[in-house]
This record gives sequence, C-alpha cells and structure tokens, in this order.
Amino acid sequence: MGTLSMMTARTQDTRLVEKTLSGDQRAFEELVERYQSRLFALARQYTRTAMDVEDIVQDTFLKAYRKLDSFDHRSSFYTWIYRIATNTILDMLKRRGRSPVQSVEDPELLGDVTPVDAPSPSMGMEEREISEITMEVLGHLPDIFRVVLVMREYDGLPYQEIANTLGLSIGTVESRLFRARARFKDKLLSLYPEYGQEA
Amino acid sequence: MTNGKMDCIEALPLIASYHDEELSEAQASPLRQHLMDCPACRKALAGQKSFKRWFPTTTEAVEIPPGFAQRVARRAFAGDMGSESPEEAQPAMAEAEGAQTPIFSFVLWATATAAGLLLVISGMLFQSHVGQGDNLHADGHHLTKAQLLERAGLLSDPAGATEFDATPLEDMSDISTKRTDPEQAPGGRQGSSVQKSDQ
Repeated sequence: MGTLSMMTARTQDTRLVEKTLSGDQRAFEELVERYQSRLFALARQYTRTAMDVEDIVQDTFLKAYRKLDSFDHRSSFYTWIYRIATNTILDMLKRRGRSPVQSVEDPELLGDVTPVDAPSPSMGMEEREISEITMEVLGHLPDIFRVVLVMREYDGLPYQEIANTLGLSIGTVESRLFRARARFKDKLLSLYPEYGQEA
Repeated sequence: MTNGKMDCIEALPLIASYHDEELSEAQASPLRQHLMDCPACRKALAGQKSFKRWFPTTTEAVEIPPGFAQRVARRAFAGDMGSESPEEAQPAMAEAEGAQTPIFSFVLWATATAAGLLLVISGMLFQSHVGQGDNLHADGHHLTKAQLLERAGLLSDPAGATEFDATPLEDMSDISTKRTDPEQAPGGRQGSSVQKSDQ
C-alpha cells in the first residue's frame, strides 16, 4: 500500500470514526466492512472453529465501538483494533482454560531453550497442510509464546508493536520470541519426528 | 568482540533479530561481517529462514458470514456487550470514567435510600388513613358505600346496589362497624370523617 493510499485510508477511518461517534450506525458498519477480513484472518490463526472465529471478531468490534471515544488517532485504526482483537483472543483462551497465561518465571517455561536445527516443511507440501501442522503445534504452546509467534511470524509486526500491544518491553519480546521459536521447533519434532530427519 | 570482530558467542543471539530486521545498522554491520566468515552462523541464519516457512502468508480466502457488518453495527448501537458480561466490562468503564464512578455510586445509593423512605412514609400514611372514616371522596365526588362496594366487586346484586345507592355513607357506619367487629357498639366511629382524594 503506497503512502498516499495509506493516508487516504487513515483519513477515511478518521471520518468514519467521527461519524460513528455522532451516532451514524452506517458509518460503523462501513468500518466493520473495512477490517472484518483482516480480523477474521487474525482470529483464524488461533482457532479453526468458525463459530469461535466469528465470536472473536464480533466481540472485538463491539468492544471497539464501546471504547471508540478513547481512540486518539495516534496509531492507525487497524493497529488500535488489532490490539483489542489480541486481548479478546487472550481473554477467550483464558476463559476456556486452554492454557492460562503463565509467567515467564515458570521453570517449565524457562526449561531447555537451546535452539534446535529448524526443520522446514517439505517442498511438496501444500499451504493448507503446512497451516494445519503449524496450528496444531501452536495449540500445544503456552499462550504467551503462541501470541508472540503469531504476531511476528504471521502478522509481521515489528518488536516495538508487539511490545506496545502486549504491554511488554522490547527486550522481553525478543527473549520471548527466542523461547517461543525454540519451543515451536521442539514440539514440532516431538509431534512430527520425520521433519527432524529432513533438517 | 575480538580485534573489532564479532565472535559466534556474540553473533548467535543476534541472528533472529537480524533476520527479523530489528537490529540497528551499528549492530547489523559487524554481524554481517561475521556471517561472511562463519559457516556455522550462516547455517543458523538459514535455519531462521526455514522456520519462517511454517508460517506461510495465507492465500486462503476468509469466509465472512453474510450480513456480518450490518449485524455487528446493529448490535453495537443496541448496546450489546457481546460475550463480555457487564461485570467484565466494568473495569474498562471505570477506567474510562475515572473520578465519575464514586459520584455515580453515591447518586445510586441516595436514590435507593430516598425510594425506600418514600415507601415507608407512604405505608404509614396509608395505615393511618384506613379505617379512620367511612366517608370517602375521590376526585371531589362524594361516593356512597354501595358505590364503593360495587366498584370493589363486593356487591353483585344491582337491585341491592340501587337500594344502597340512596343511602349516604355517613349513615351507614354501623354496617361498616359490624363487618369489621360484630361486638362493637353501633355508631362507634360515627363522625370521624376523613377526606381522601387521589393524588
């Protein structure tokens, strides 16, 4: 996206936010339409259950609407709503007790973080197949690792943005990513040892 | 760093950040130099690139339920909280409202207390008026006891009602007395007339 079109998108977002705040329901609908695809894609990185994905995105927009007057336009609307979505996802994971957010001081989490050789997907593997394996491995990781991996590897967020979204320091993001990658590789090899042979 | 050159111990922890393009030029430049001379660290960098392949940029189309944006906007404007309960939403609201919360709590408390007092006073007034007189006035109209009984559905005989209609309420205190206390002497409450009017 070019700088000009990014500015135009931002101006349009600002206009839509202002109209929504003045009571224009159609303007909010337009904001939802603009970002629903990206948020659906984001939510799908955490769950493949269609109903859960829809609930996450819907809750994100409902929260965004309630907090809209606190949006100060310093960041882009997407950055702002991305943070809300990430928190909504973390809340959902916590509510379901899948893997409560654990402290990094947990000895189990600090365990062996020696980087192993990174196995890579076979060349012939289809994107869908790779995604299925990745989702399964991510599902075995504690949320604190899962979230940073998704934010960095799927969404390509810079460390600073991850730090801002999760309320962490850049140093913490860096070390958490390091551990998360090591854990991912370990789990991948324990679930699919065949990829270790190819590495 | 030995002789201005980076060694593997210094280089390895930086490789992930280098791959993520998170290093400053001052950090990246000596690492780049080291990578040119060190096959082991080059292998580690290649491992980072392989790892990235587990997180492909999805080309899979995201399915959005029909009418999603419209439905979400409608729910937002209707005050829907989504899966977030009002209790969960409270901290965010309290944070947004800041100092208003204690005032709001006080107003709620004062309103509840006033409502309770009003209820008690109304009850006391009602108790003091009931039974103090049989001559009742509603909206400025003088009602006979028969009319009152008829309104209350206690007098089903229209003929009897006609007969009672002619009798002013003041002259029928004995009937009232007999109904409540058969032992009491006739005319015991005669003359105690309390005017009652609808507010």
